[in-house]
Amino acid sequence: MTGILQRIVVEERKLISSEDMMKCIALSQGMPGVMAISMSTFIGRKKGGVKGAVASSVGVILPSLIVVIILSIFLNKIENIVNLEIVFTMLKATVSAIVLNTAMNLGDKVLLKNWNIFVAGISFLAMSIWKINVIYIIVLSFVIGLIFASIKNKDDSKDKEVKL
Amino acid sequence: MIIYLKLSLVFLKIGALTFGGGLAMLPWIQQEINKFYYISNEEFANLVALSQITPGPIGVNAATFVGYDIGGLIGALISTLAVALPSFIFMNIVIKNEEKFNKPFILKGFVGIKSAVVGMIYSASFILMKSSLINENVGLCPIRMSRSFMSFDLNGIFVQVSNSINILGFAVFLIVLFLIRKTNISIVKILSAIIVFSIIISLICQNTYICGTFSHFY
Repeated sequence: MTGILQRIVVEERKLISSEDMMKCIALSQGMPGVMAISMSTFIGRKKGGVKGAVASSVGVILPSLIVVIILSIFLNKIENIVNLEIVFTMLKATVSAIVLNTAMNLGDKVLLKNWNIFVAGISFLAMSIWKINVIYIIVLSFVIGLIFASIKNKDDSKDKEVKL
Repeated sequence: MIIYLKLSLVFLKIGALTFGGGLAMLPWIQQEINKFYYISNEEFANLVALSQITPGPIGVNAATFVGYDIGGLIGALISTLAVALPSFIFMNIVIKNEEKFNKPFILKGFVGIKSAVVGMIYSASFILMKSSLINENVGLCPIRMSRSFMSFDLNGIFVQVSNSINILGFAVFLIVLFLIRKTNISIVKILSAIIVFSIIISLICQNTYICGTFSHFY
């Protein structure tokens, strides 16, 4: 979801900036409820006010609503005709490639310093292997970012003094 | 009528209080629904699988499935709206008060969150890759693997590795990654091409011998 949204909204249609997209992802990760709806509300509200928010959330709900209703009516019949397992395997492989591409593109922009890479690595491990709740990761990375960004600023000012 | 009211209340509560996205919602949905409508564990496992593989947000899919199961078409509509409404309202409130968040220390901390978000997206793709490129039901058995290593059984190693890799998924993954990174084809086109292609393949593989090569799908 995140990967496809980033690719279409930021790279292809250029609706919002990549900076706003990062804000959008972080906010929707941290808020309760369905993430896709938070994200589409954010983008809609940024582009077209409340009306835009309503339009984009309805837009994100409608396709899955229709597909699910059709599926639950016809599921038994479809299963006999189409081998769903193969379809879904291929779709999942496609989406994983898209998401990987998004992660690489965002990483090029964000992971500039060593501590950025360190935080990203820790959050990767925490999400995929340790299965830690997202809230803790966000709070912790906020604190780490606060500390390191402050230290970095001091270093920059020292460098300037030396040069002067 | 009462069942619609109950459905909407349950899904409003779930939409407003679950952190961590749709997957975290699923067990709670079962708990809450079982208070007034019986869904067996097996039925629920089917529902989880279905909401994961149908396109769209997992939380919305699960709500629609449960709502349709219990209250038909109207039930599906009501529970979907109810699960979506809280996050819509929260997000609107947050954006309305956005200027209050533009303070220097928040912006500094946000640099940390941004790096963490990149890690999260990597882990999302890792989880998807694990379920689409590797056969979980075959898997790599460490004991058998180490035995093959000890006896220099190259053939055994090769068979074990190739059995655990899902060839079709891997091929699609590499092709799509190449298309996205090296060309400018729009993602909607790629996705729709893959959907058509996969339906054709699954129709061909329905009852023919080709299934033997893809035996790990079953």
